[in-house]
Amino acid sequence: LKRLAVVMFQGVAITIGVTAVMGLFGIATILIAIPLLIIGFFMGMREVLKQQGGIVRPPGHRLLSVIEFFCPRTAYQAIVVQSAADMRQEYYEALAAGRKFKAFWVRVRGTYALLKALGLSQFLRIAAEIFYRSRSRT
Amino acid sequence: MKRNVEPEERVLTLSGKEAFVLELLLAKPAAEMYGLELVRESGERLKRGTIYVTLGRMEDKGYVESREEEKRPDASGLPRRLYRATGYGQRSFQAWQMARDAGRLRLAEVGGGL
Repeated sequence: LKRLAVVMFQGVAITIGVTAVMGLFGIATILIAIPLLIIGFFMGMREVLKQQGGIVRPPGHRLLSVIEFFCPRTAYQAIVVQSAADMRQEYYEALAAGRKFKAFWVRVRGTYALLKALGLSQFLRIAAEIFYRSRSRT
Repeated sequence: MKRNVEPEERVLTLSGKEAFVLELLLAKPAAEMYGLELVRESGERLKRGTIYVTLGRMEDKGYVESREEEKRPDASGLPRRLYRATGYGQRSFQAWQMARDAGRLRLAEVGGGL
């Protein structure tokens, strides 16, 4: 609980600092503080679980559950599961070497590789293009 | 997943990437490799996001075969699939190499004549 309180306090302190720099006090502070507090709570809980040696889900756990739902079984077994196994192997190798940033990067890259393997990156690319085009018009 | 293709129906359609995968697999004939090993052996020339799609296509064509890795009873985690080149894959790669070398020789002759 002590760790949890520290993480939440850090979230609030960062919010006040950021809004002070931006010159945005009042409602903006509250609007930014609430999501930060929620994120801080979950991050703190995760830290506490890690320190207690609790069970932590492996990377790609939720994404695999979603993909398994709509992906054909053969493609799921041959492509998705294998890509996820690669990501986990690299992730745990990085963690074992004490390289936390590398582990984080492997996670991001692995998730992208999973999406790419399924061709979902095309949807992301199209969405990004629509976003940029709509911005360039304004 | 594996689609049976009759030998007489087979046409040599080996792309550069597929030939490179076969080259890596044939470098250690007895060994079986999984996707990440191939990516590492290739010096990142093969990409993580596409390697299993390529291997799946090659398995359909009959160039490689795969099996699920046997796991120890106490081991956990996702099941891995190990790949190795088939005899047909080996012969196709040799034919591809010969065609490539012949093409290079021909180009050198044409280039020398100019």
